[in-house]
Amino acid sequence: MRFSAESILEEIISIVADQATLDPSDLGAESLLRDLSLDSLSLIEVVFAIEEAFDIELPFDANNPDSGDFDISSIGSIVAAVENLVFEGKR
Amino acid sequence: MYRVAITGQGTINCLGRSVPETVAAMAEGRCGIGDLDILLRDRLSVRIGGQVRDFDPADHFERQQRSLYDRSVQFAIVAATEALNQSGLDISEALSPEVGVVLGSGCGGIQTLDQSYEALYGQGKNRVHPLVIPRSMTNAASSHVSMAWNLQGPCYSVSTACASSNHAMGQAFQLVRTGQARVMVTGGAESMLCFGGIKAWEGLRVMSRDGCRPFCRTRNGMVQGEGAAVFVFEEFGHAESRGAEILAEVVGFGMTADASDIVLPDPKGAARAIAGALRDAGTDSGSVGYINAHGTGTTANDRSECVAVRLALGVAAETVMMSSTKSMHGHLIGGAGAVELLACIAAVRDGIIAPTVGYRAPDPECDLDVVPNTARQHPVRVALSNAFAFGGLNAVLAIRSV
Repeated sequence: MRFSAESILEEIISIVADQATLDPSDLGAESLLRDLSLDSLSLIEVVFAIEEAFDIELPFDANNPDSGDFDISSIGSIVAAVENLVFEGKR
Repeated sequence: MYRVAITGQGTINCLGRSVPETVAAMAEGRCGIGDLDILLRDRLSVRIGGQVRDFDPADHFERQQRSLYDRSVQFAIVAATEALNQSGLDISEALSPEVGVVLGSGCGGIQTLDQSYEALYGQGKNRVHPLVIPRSMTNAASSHVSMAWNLQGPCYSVSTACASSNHAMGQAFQLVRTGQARVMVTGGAESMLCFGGIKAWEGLRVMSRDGCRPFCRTRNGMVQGEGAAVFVFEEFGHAESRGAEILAEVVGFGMTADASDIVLPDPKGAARAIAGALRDAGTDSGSVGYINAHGTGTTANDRSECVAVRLALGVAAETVMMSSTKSMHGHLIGGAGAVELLACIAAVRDGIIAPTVGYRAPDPECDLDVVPNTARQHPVRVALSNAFAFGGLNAVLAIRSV
């Protein structure tokens, strides 16, 4: 499957909005996950849905969500991480 | 010791979405078993079951709840909602630590596991949904009921195959009776009508392909059902003091192990459980008006159960009414005893004796009054609910009219 930078942003907003029960139009690259009242289980569901959508493995550690290479603080930082994995070796 | 009242009951099963619907179906002798509507049905040899049809989880649960609840948990919560609403209990901060939950389940969230394995082995995926563990653990239903109503007392699950919910309700009875809890929400739930679940049962070759006809000479096996039933067991004085309607009183419980064979029943073990329940209830065999049989429709169970009832009840066995409602709702495995307690309550409360439907011809080895095909109206003082599980585990509950 091919993804553009725009379609990655759109897909991730859709996944996060679904878990946070928000309208996608309320979210943008600057939205911070800590403002969305996602509980820990919703967060791992977000990670799972992203992995399924893009067929990638995200380095997410639920024991220590803020550590590691995967910055999940905002929609934009998730998009950047996903772009890295999706476009890896294709540039 | 405290007396134990039943002040609420709830269910969902193939006969109905509530207790009134289910009891009405039992009184009509209506069979809820039909063609299964499940994935990969064409590859099944057994294609019938007591399936809950047209159940849309979105009608009952929010999206986040749906991703956390296996189908069996959904059924447990639907049943618990009806039971707790009927009880009229107000779970105050003071009462909450004295209210607990103990539910039975034979296999926990087996549909969740089945779907996960299908993704891994069938589709070749390398990941499963992140909530497979909390969805599939056997205590999921008990925990979600505890969370949904803020019940902070003893909470756990019991898993003893087909006796799970009777063992669970026996535990609830003891906890209230001894004062370890004021109220226990109890019963059982099961939903293993999925490809892997039915294939597993097919393997044992005890399943009927055309219907469940307990005690009938033409019987040829069991039929699976699914669903849940949940009850509110409450300390009698507590129920009386708040003016609650008391549906019946739980008076005795007996449990034994055959210690002989992992699948074949031994009538002596079952008979000891029945006698134990009567002794615990402080009543004699002559006061028993109705028995809801384990009555699976297998050759071995039904023959053995009739021997067991004769051993335990003596001459009273010749006149007692004993039916198997599995003929209508199928075998709910870990939820069986719970749905079947509904028939016992209908008997002691309203004198409704649910029939054994699908009965065609008498079997000399099952020559008790099995209430063939048509329900009866007859006052009953004491009713027993039998559950005899694989593993040789027997659990019998005794209830009394109030």
